[in-house]
Amino acid sequence: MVPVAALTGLQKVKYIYNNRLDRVKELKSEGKRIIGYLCSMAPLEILEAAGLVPFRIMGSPQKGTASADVHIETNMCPYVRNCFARGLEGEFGFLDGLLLSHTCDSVLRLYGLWKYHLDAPFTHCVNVPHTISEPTIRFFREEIELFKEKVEQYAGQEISGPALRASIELYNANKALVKELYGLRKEDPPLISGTEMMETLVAGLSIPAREFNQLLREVKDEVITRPPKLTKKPRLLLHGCIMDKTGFVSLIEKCGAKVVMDDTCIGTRTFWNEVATDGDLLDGLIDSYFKKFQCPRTYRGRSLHRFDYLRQYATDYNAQGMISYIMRFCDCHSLDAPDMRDYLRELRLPVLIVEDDYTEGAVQSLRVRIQAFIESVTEISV
Amino acid sequence: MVTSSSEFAKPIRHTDAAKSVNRVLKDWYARSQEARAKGAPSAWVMASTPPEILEAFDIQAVFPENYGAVSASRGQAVHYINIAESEGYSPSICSYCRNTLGYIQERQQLKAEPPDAPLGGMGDPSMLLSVSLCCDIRIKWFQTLATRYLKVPIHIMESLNPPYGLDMTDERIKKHYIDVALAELRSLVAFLEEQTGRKLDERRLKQVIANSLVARRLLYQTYQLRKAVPSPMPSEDAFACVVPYLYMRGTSFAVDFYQKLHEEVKERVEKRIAVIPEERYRILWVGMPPWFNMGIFNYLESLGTVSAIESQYYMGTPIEVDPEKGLQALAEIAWLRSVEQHRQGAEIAPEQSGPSGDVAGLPVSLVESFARDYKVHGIIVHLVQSCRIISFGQAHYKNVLRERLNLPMLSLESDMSDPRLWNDTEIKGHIKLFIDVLGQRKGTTAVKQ
Ligand code: SF4
Ligand code: SF4
Repeated sequence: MVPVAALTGLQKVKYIYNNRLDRVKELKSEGKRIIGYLCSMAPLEILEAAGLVPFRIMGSPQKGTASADVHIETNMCPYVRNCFARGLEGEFGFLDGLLLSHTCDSVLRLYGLWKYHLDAPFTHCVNVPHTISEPTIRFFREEIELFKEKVEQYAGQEISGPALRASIELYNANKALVKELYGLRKEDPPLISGTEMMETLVAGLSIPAREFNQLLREVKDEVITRPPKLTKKPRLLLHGCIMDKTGFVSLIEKCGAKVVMDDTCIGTRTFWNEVATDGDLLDGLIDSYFKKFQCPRTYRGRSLHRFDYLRQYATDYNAQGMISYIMRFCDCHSLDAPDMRDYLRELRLPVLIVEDDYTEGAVQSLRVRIQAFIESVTEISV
Repeated sequence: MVTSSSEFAKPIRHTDAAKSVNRVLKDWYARSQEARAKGAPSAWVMASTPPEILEAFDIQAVFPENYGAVSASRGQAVHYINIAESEGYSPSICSYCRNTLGYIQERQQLKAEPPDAPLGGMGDPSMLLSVSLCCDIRIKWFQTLATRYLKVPIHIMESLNPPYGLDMTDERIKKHYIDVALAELRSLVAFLEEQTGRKLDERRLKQVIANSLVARRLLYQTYQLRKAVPSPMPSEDAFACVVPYLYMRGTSFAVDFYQKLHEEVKERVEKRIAVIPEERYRILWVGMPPWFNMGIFNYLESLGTVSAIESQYYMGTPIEVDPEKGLQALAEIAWLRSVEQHRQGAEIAPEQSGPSGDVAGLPVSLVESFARDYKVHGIIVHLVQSCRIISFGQAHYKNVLRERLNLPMLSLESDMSDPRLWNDTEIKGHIKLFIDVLGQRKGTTAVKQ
């Protein structure tokens, strides 16, 4: 087998994607402390600034949820149950801690059970309000401060202003590079497929931010120099809940479309908001992780204009339709679905909404509906 | 009207207080309709928005959650749920919520109150008030109402609670949570002042808070009396009797109601007036009840078993705060309730306490002490499919209680308002087997293994 160090670009991405624990385990053996996290409403920049390594916890659809089902009811989010099952089975035994934020009901409750069963030296939950107002912003600011102090205590070092700034700049570079790569999807055909993009992001969230930046540069160099694909295909926007495997995107692309843009957790929601560094750094973090963080769990008013960013994505990336992927029992996404559908219909942007339960079989069963949808999009475009 | 075909659809209650609740509900809905007809401010309100504040502003409120239970108990929920699902709302969404969305959809299509609407319907509100306590649904539900159906002003109150494991003795944490609670209460008041054109009457608010503390104390004392053997008041009565507390606890009516309830239960204990003359077994009911089939409790009684206590809608120990502090008192109640929850283990009930001390989900040690103090022989856990938040933790209860208590447990699955998830034959079969198990154990109550 070729050693990973000898790989570059998309080959390296594929390797890391398939062996996502390798690098953090290596770092762990070098004495680094690794903190697992899920969802992104708590600033990882603070962990990084204290010399800790953030690692995004993910599930494994093929392994099922049996070990978690003993502790969590099966009518809760299947993704959360899957991640907890991996935790209970010891897959993340190398973690020195856990950072969750109160994103949705399932994640908040997972926090309690995780701490109860798998407590680690650093376990913390950042509480995130559901509405944006002066008092809730004040509250979130204090949450970030409390989180920072707890990290400092655990890491045994104060996080200085310059260290936090450097960390924010590192993550900003990360986000900027991801955006650049997304920019290449505006081409027709796009220079990088949705599947490759997702593989890259998943791989990147499994290694330190600095290494991810390097990887992104390599991927970019590779995709702009490889011979372009010539066949044009319908261009789709992908919306929805957490997806951390390429199964669904790749199914869409195998069915004959290209995923050119997304509104998903491991996608724009994580990478779209650089943190402003020209003022108070905390203000920057609040903007990026709370005020601007795009997730239906936050109340953004009663108007259908709350979906305007989707129109913007579709326009900027020239998408001809949208597929929305909703995790079963995800209340935030489910309740928004009819409003969102109506909004897109008004724009005459075809939309397909599917529900999934994060099992391998379920994705395949969606093939026929996806094919039919792509055909209908093609007809409309013609 | 779609009626339930279940043999459990019509419950029989035991105490006079519980029997009077249907009338209370009818009067309440009739009052709201009258008020609306006169153009008085009216609201659709999410439960746990402090009823004390609504009362202080004289707002006629109806609660869509309550309407979910009302519609289910009157056999109308399936009709509304079907309408909501045909509009694209997933069957996994809270059935109370689907019930409201179907109801409002029909109402708007007819441009009038649907003829079969239970209790004459919820009517048109002049405002929507929600609160983020305990589940994501509560925000999304009212957001949906405001986006699609009701073009009236909306206010969403934030309810933030300390996650599990936080140091509740830390003064800074206390201030952090009380400050935000107080700010949110103030913002609700500001919204209502704008909507009603009236300033908050502080004196009235203090009186209302004092009433609600008395109501809480009386309810607590009544729950203490329910420890008596034989049981004087079963769960089906308790589920009815929480209505005034949940929705109108600041009123003098609520104080009278709980005064009477307390006296009645006290008398029943003294005179040994039992729910069932020959009480063989007592159970603890965990979870929400099936509102469409409350007669299930009577079925248990026909087998010599009384549901002596339940985990749902427990209002906690009396709280000592000074009502003269007004809004600050409400913020302190919420904090003190959180502290109490944390003391008893908040790992599965992190969203402990609403802005005036309602709780959603009890800590496991409290449920354990219920099992002991109410001398139960077994536990029935009712998992309601569409309310994830109340269901969440039941597996954990079972795991922990199995370790700490030597009691048989039965799990039933259905829903609080969606009768399509209920099967009479299956449920009866499970219950019969369970009672057999209790029999084999010859009436052993909670003991340590
Ligand atoms: S998919 Fe939905 S329910 Fe699951 S973790 Fe994400 S937001 Fe929460
Ligand atoms: S707590 Fe349960 S019943 Fe109440 S709104 Fe939330 S999901 Fe529905």
